[in-house]
Amino acid sequence: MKRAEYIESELKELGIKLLLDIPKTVPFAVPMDYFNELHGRIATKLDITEESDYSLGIHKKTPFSEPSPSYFDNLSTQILAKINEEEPNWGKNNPFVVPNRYFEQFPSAVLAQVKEHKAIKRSLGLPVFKSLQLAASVALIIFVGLGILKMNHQKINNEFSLDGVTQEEIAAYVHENIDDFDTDIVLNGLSYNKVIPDKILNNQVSDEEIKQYLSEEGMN
Amino acid sequence: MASLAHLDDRSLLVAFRNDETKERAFTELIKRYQERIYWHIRRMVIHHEDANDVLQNVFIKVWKNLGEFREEANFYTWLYRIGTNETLTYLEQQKRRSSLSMDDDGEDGNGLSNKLKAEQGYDSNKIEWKLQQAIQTLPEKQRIVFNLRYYDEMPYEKMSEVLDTSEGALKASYHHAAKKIEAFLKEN
Repeated sequence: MKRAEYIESELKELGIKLLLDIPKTVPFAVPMDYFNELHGRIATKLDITEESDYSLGIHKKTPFSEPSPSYFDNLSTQILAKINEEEPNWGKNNPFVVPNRYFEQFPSAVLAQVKEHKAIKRSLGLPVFKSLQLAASVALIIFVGLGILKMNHQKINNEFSLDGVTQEEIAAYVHENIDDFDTDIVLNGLSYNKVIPDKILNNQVSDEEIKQYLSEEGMN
Repeated sequence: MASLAHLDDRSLLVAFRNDETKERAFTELIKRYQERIYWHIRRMVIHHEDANDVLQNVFIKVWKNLGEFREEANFYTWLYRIGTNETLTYLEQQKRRSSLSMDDDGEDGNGLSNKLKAEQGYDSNKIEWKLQQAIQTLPEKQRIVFNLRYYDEMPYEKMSEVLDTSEGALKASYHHAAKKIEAFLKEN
């Protein structure tokens, strides 16, 4: 595999010519047809869930056990894989092995897992009345919590004013705790728009509403 | 059922929001990116089984969160970002496990080096395996930067979005990594 020119010139600029002589290919071998097989495995899982109209070429059930949907498509590759297992060939600079047809079957495997998650989630769903009770309880807790927070507002302000924290301290904190910013935080960040009402996003708040809000908050 | 392979990422995201085409769009997105993300993960965790676990988690997270994905962001960048985070989380878990079991074969430099040696076809005399050994001596984040640049040839601008780090810091990190690797290869 040819290396991009900008990568080569960067290495030359750095004076690291040694890396230019090494083949770019990763030496890891991937089991033959690994990506292809994943597809069939997931299709089988989808068949078990019996709740999807998603078709990956799954036929209606017959008394005979069926091969995976991609069986015939990949038969030749499978045979070659077996031959290669007996006579491994490591001449391609890629020593990492990936199971046969892995990538081909991978999408349907993920879909099957997603469906399992969905099924579990559904079974845990609360009845409407219980949900309303829960919502009312949460609202009450928030209401009481806000009251307490307001009473302590002055005290908190004095003790924990962010004005006293420098940019360097914040940067140092983030740097030291960078491992805490995991995938879930990244993902949560993606849905931040949800907490901002559409009305505000679309500039549909009238002056009267703003005045009323300021008045209620004791800010005018 | 018609394939959606001809659609670009943005159109696939639109198709994902439609219940009728949701699963086909998702399948197409997986097919489009599975190998790139797989190799990104595999170079970090070494073993295929580990890479497979992480890769499946990545796409399950994508399924769960794609509805919230803001289209102005780049899907490919977002996917790499999730892949990177999942990989780092996995490596962290492995480290904790090995320290709990007093195992000396964790995901530190030595543990990964041992994993490399256990790989099928490993040959310490071959330069590409030596390079892999050199890469495993780098700190995790430097290893990611080196792999993204050297193997995936990712522009610093994109890498900056994936890793949420300034381009200058990434360049410095890559340069340090390349120097360390060179030194390792000369010594070994």
